Amino acid sequence: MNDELIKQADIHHIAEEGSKIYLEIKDKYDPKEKGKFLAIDIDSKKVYLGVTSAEAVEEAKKNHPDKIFYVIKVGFDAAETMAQSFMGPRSNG
Amino acid sequence: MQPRLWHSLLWDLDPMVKGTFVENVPWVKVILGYGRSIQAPFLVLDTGFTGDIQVTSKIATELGLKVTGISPTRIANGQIVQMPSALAIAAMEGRTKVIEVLISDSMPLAGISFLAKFSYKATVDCKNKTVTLERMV
Repeated sequence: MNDELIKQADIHHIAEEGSKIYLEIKDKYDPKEKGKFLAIDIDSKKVYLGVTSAEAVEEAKKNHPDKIFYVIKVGFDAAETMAQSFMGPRSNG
Repeated sequence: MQPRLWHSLLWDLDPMVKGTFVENVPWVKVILGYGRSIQAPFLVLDTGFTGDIQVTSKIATELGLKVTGISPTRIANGQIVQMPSALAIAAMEGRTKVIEVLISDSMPLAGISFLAKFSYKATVDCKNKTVTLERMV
C-alpha cells in the first residue's frame, strides 16, 4: 500500500484503542442500534452514530475534521464483509 | 429544443447504467471525486461486498483521498483485517452521494451499500454476458 496513506493512519494503534473504547460503550448501543455504524475518536473517546459508515464519519468530522476514526458496525464483529465465507455460523457485517 | 434538454429527457427515460463483462467478471464504471480530482474507474460489481466502494491505493492517491477511518473488515478467508477508509463523492447518472471508500491493493469493487445508496437494481445476465444497473424510483 502507498506509503503516504500508511503515514496518514496509524492503523494498528487506532484499531486497538478503538476496539477497547467500543467494548466499554457497547452496551449503550447494542442491541438498540444494531446494524448502524459508530465512528469513534480514540483521543476524546467521543462516539458518532450513523445509519451508514459514511454518515457516522461525516458527523464525526464536523467536530474533528482532521482525525482518523475507528469505524465499527454495532452488533457485528466486522464493519464490512468483502465476501461471504462458509466457515460456520457467525454474525457477519 | 436544445440538445442538452434532449439529452436530459432521454436520460430520464432510460435510467440505466450498462456495465461490461470481462472474463466472466461484471464491471461497472463509477465516477469518483474528491476535492478537485475526478476519476471514472471500472469496478467489479461484487454482491458479496457489504460496503460502498473499494479502490486500490494507486487510485486513492491519484484522487487525493485522505484516510478518515479504520474499519475491521472480514475478507474472503474469514479473517478480519483492519482496513483504512476515506470519504469520497460518487456520481451516477447525474446524482451524487457521499460514500465510504475502502483502500486495499486487491480488486476495485462496488458493493451492496453503494447500490442501495443510489437505489439501483443490479441485473447480471450471465447467459448474455451483460450487466445493468437500473434506478428504482
